[in-house]
Amino acid sequence: MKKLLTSALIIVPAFVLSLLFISKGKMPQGGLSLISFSAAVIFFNSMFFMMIYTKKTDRYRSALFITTAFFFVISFIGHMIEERGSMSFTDDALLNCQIPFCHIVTTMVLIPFAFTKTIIFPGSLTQGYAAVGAMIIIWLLSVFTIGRAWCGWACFFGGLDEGFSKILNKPVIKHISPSFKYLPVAVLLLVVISSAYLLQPTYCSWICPFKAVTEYEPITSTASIIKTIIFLSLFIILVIILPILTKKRTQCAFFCPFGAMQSASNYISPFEIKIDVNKCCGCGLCITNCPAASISKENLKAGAPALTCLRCGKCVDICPKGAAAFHIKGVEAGYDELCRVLSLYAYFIFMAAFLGGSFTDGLHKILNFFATGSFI
Amino acid sequence: MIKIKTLTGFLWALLVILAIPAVFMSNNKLAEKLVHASGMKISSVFTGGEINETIENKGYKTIINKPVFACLAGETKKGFIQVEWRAKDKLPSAIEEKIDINGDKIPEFTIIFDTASKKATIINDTGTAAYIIKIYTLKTGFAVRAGFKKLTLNSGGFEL
Ligand code: SF4
Ligand code: SF4
Repeated sequence: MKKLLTSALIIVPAFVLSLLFISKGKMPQGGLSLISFSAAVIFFNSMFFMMIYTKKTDRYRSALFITTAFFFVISFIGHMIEERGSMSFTDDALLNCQIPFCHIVTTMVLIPFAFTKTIIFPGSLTQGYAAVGAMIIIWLLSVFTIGRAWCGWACFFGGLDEGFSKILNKPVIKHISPSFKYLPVAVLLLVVISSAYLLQPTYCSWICPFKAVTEYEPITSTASIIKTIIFLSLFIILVIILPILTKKRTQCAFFCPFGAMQSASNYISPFEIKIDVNKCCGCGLCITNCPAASISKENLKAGAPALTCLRCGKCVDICPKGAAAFHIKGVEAGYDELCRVLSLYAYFIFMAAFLGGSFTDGLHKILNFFATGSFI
Repeated sequence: MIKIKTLTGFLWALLVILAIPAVFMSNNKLAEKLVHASGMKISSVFTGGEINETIENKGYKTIINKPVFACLAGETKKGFIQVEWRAKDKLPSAIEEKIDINGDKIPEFTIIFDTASKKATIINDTGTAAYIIKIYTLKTGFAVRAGFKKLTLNSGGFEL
């Protein structure tokens, strides 16, 4: 009973904040809006409560993360169909710079911005849906706060390959060459250099797998046919098939340029995962179960996962010796639970503030579909 | 006794936890400040460049933008110019637009646009090797981007 009450008390500030962010400051009016809003608040907070109460993180985080990605896709596609009547963007949207700006584009716009003070993306700077300025502020905030926990908690795409990675109980492909971990850095370099040279966001134009579930160029030319084949193939291979076969987040761990760039922010974030080398028995469970392939034998010896760690908490939950733990830089041993609660607080608030709205909107669109036969 | 390093760690974590809701709450204002203070703009590669001239015609208007020579540093030799025709009531079946890129009052090329077939052709009037890059179909009209190569550059502008 005491544990139940303490856990409930701990989540009160997070509950208030999530209420504020998910409602966007005003209580929703009307049946379906109120239902989807309430469901979002209850779902977010019950998952957070379970993280605190059970002292297990990953399964509740994962449930939230996967569901949010699903609702995000519904919300985004619904939004595009509402605005322009299709998932492909129109010439009007392109020339009027109304294309939503996602965080992955940040990798490509920084260098051209430094040189030309311009953003090489046809988005809106401050107005409308997913504006450039707002997304850059959120990205900067993540760099100084949660680091690459972005990819374990806040990315609206990450839950897709995570969802598929949960389908099988055991991986069919067990060995993945360690050299694959350099692939995202290669993709990052390629898109940064090509985008700066061509002044075009080349990843978005040519190889983003998530075009399959968001928006894409209308198929009107040979180039657009080739692009469509590329992004559909990448989505099927990296987001569906390989995650099922490997039980890893293959798109995120071996391809995404944003993930590669965001890894560097793990240096700046106060939160980290630590492995106590004295407690570690070398069973390797964390190595085989890490969805981002961020732990190797060398990492175990060094007492910390690689910089690519997503702070998902899987290794912490699975470690039979309690050697892996959420940690705050500088804090001495003996504060494991406090470090975990504070880390989760930061990650959870970020997630609720960033994704709560899409969750509610996606759910609302689905409810609307059942109520009226239309998503919008 | 709790060590200074531990205390600093916790304080840092608390600051971060407070910063997250604070920034999200003022995100729109911060975004506006960022855009304003940094002088951020969308690249003319996407906007099509600044408007140079708007011509009111019977039933439609023509918007001719300034030529764009965007590249990472300085200007490229290969540029483009964007021309838009916006219907006030109806666009004519064929539009002929003379384009004077460098403002010397001598048109370098003519764009002929067939609004029914959505096809554009270019007649190079002064030996300029201009070509069509893309035709955009807009809600109220069309836009065409014509590419060309800058041959010489002088302090007053450029020659083609
Ligand atoms: S690696 Fe890329 S797609 Fe995956 S979670 Fe991170 S930003 Fe999202
Ligand atoms: S090292 Fe641990 S926390 Fe980091 S991604 Fe792997 S399992 Fe998740």
